Amino acid sequence: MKYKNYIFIIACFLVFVVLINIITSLGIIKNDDKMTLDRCIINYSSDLRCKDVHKEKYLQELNISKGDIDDESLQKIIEMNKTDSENLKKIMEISKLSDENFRIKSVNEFLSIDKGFTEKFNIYYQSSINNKKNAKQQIEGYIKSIESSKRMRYEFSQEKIKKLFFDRDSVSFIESIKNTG
Amino acid sequence: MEKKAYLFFLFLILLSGEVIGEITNSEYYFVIQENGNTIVGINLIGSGELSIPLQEDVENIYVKGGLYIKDINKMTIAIGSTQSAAIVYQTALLTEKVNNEWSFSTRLEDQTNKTIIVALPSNAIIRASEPSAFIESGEIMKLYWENIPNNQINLNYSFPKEVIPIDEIPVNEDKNSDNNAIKINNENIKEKTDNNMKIPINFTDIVDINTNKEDDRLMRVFAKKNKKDSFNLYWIILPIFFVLLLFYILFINKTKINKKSGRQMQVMQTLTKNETDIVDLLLSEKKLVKRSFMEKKLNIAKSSLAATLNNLERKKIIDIDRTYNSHTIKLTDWFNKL
Repeated sequence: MKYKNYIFIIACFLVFVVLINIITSLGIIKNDDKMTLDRCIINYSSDLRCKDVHKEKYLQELNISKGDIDDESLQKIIEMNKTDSENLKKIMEISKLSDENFRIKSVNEFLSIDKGFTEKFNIYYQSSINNKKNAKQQIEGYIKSIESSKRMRYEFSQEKIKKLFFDRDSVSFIESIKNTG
Repeated sequence: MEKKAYLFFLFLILLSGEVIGEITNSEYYFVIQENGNTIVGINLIGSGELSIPLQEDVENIYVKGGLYIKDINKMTIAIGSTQSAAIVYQTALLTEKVNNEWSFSTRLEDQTNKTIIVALPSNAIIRASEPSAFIESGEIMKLYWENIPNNQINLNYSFPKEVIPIDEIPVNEDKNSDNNAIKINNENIKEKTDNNMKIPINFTDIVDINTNKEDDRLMRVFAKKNKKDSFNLYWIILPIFFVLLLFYILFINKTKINKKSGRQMQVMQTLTKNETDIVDLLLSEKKLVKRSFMEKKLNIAKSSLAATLNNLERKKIIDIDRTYNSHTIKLTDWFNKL
């Protein structure tokens, strides 16, 4: 009878210890995670784990399921978040207008564009559905033009102008101009 | 202390790196058509933001390499890492025509170093240009400017008048009229251009015919033509109008007449057949009805009509005016208001 009591007390003790360990370990992980994120916000480059934490955060904010943010863009985003988080928020919102594939590049571009223009563009696309469509087209067209890495220009050649004066078809003239450069 | 100053200097250098660049150079193309429409093309170099004056009638703007916001009188373009952008749009508000002479006027932004090219049809005659332009004529006429002082260009130009040969005028000749009435001024024939372009001829453009008599004749010819066109239009509109009128009279009007309120229907259920016919007739006519008219219309004998009318009067459904020989009958206000 005495042995059974001892065994029972020891078993209870062991279960208690195991439970406490589980609870505390869970708490430690949680705290550790929090500490990591806090630390990452303060100092990005010191910890490799920070990259993933930030990447995950911004990919989520941009609603990107596939794809990755390159280091340079991530660094820029984090810096902008430190200096002007409101502007970054607007940039994120504007970039979300475009297709998933264009969003990171769009953020990158808006980070180099004047803040005043970003604000105006934000107001512009929110003012009507047509403006929203137009803004989306603009962003996607703009990102495509970055990828082409050519100098953007429209060529007004002598032949095209002559043709316009002859057939007076300004629509096809503009179309032909749009396809140049 | 020295260290602090050095660090401050370094900080300034770092800050200057953050300053956004500027759009420095631009090429403007204005392609002016004979009808006054202008196609404007702008090529920009640099990065940053730029406001460009815009005409009110501009609808579609095509931009490559930049993001833009269109406002009422201007557009703002921002260029990032593309370092260049191109714009094209069409407007009719840069030109104005007064007495066969055209004027072109435009105001440009003042931020960039500009190269401006205005292209016109080769038959254009430049009357004046402010500031002075370098003119190149050939298959098309081109005017060049570089870095104009006031960012404003004014240009006056015209096109040679073209005269329609007599045999091309679509006229139903009046045989009694003088065949030599229309004569064309020789000077105008000289002015007519040799190239293949056809200038649209408005009636107002034909101002070089010698005498007033000739003017009158041409006026009559064109008036006849216009009259013919408008006459055709009448033949389309008139039948439609009559069909609609007929439809109104036959259906819409009739449906309105026969409308009775629920209370009126209830009252009419208590009436005899002759009484109901009389009330129906009064409702449909909506005015005073003579007893003789009622007799004819309802085909009721005089005696029974008199009895029926008396009954209806007693029931306060009708009023009979017996002032004159021919009595008139109308519905009472009470019945109408039901």
